[in-house]
Amino acid sequence: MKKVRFLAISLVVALMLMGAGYAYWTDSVDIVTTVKTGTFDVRFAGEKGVTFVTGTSTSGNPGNEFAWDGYGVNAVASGSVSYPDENTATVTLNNLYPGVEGEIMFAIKNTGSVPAKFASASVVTADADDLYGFINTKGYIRHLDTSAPQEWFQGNATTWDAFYDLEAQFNNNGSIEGDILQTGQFLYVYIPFQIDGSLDNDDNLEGATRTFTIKMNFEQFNHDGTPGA
Amino acid sequence: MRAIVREGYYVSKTIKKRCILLFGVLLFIYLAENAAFFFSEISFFYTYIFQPLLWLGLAYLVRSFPGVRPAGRLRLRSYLAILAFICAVLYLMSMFAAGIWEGFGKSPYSFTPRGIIFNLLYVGSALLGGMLARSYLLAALANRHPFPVIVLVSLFLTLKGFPLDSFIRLQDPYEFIRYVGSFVLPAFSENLLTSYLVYLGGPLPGFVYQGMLLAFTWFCPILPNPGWLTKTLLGTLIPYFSLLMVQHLYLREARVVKRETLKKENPLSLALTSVASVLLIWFAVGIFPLYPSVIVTGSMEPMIKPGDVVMVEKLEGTEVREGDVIQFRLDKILVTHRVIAITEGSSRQFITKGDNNNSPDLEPVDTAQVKGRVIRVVPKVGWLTLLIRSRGSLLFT
Repeated sequence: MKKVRFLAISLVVALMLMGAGYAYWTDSVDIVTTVKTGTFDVRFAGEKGVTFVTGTSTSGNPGNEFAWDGYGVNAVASGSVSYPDENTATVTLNNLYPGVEGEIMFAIKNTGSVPAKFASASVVTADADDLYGFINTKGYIRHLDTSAPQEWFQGNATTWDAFYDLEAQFNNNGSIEGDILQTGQFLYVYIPFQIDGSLDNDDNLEGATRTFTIKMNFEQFNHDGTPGA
Repeated sequence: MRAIVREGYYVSKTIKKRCILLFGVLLFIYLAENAAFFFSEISFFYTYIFQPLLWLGLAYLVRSFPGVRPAGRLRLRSYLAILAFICAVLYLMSMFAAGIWEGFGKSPYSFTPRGIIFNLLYVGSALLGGMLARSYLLAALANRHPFPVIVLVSLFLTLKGFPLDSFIRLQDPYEFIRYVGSFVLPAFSENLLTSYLVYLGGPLPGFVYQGMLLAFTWFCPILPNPGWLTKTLLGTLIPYFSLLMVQHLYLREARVVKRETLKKENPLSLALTSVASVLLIWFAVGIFPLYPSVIVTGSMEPMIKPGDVVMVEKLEGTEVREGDVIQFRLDKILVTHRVIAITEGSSRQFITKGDNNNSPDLEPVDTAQVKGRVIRVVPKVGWLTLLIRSRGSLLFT
């Protein structure tokens, strides 16, 4: 019995020291990931994809039909969304050309047993080059199903922002921040995008393929008075 | 007189009926927990009030049954509780070590006072109801054929812990394997160990083991976040080896210990004291969102005097406002000064100054240097620390 007690005390001391060592070690480490547990589990799941606006371009060069370097109007641009893991959505856009417009869509599901709320998002590009400077985006969400009302990140549907502001759009908007994702519920995220019509052949970026990933962190919603608090 | 089930006795019809009732209630609670599978709107009240009430109702039901005795020896129950405590610490340490290798993440759970209270109710009620039901089922059913009953009860309670659509939605085989490996196998292994402890010692060792794991998961703001393979291996093997260790030690103790009076220990008190000690140390070293810091100099007098302890709330540099007293890292020391201006050039920087200083600090503070904001000053409690530090300086300078 004494041996067992001694072992218990030793383990407690070890756990204490581990805490101290950990605190010292993480002093300069930024912990951004939110851990999943059996009870708390919000993940990318369900419908996803990229659709393109058909017809003539409505921006950049309104009314123009693009037949640029042999590409017909919306003839070649394509895209896809995949979930390499439950925390990540990877978006790939292929054969982009000036004026092309489309919409990225993915879904998030609360598969745990406690309600969740959005905490933060990060958007990471796989390629650092000029094309992203020519992509404009905006965003909105829908609750429960894909026919629910649109809730725009910026409060309206008309404002385009630079692609590089997409992360800030996620993190600093009222629509997604205060939303509660009850157990079993879906949240659908839409990101309309357009390639600026000012992109020209000199930029040598026609037919480009670009990939970026979106990570979204959620945390427990526990009703602290105000929604999203 | 309370009816007691002893080894070798047949399970009476009444006890069988009670066990069936318990299985039925557990199943009902499981369906209630998975109401989202059937209804689209689940309210806050339903999750955090109604569900805990169901668990507490189950606990009351079990307590109203005549008592059944666990299979282990009465005098070794305290010993089993200590073993349960050791198993839990071993598990947590191994996960912690895995976290050091593979990374940590933020806990998703709420850490506001209200959030903690609701989580205590949510987790505590499920632990209480679930453990008492497990204890009754094992004591009543596992006497004649312990192995299959322990396995079946553990399997039932493991599957009951996962949302109804968990397995339906996992259609990709790789994702299915990952999910089963990361969550289901470790949960089954944990349940197997818990059931064995409860089978021998009643609910107490089960409370100690599961309580510690749940407390760590729900109330530690930073959690180890190892990859799924590590989770699978450690999460499954550590409880399994712990089970072998408990079995070996229990059997040895049961044979060897003579009928001499053992000094009584209260294992629950030991476990609580240990957990409290660990939490206190973790708080002191700054693991939680709020941490204490001793102030050595008088640059912030009269607000903060040497020997005072300030409570610092961790925050991002972007959240700092003018007038805040912030703590920031300057080389190897921590400085606690007031923000008197904020510059928003290519990057956000803070001009800081001690209230008792005549001029601002020489270098502006970057957002990355900021550790937190002072939210409270506790006078004089850091004197002992200062005394120890000054003696240390005298010794080593």
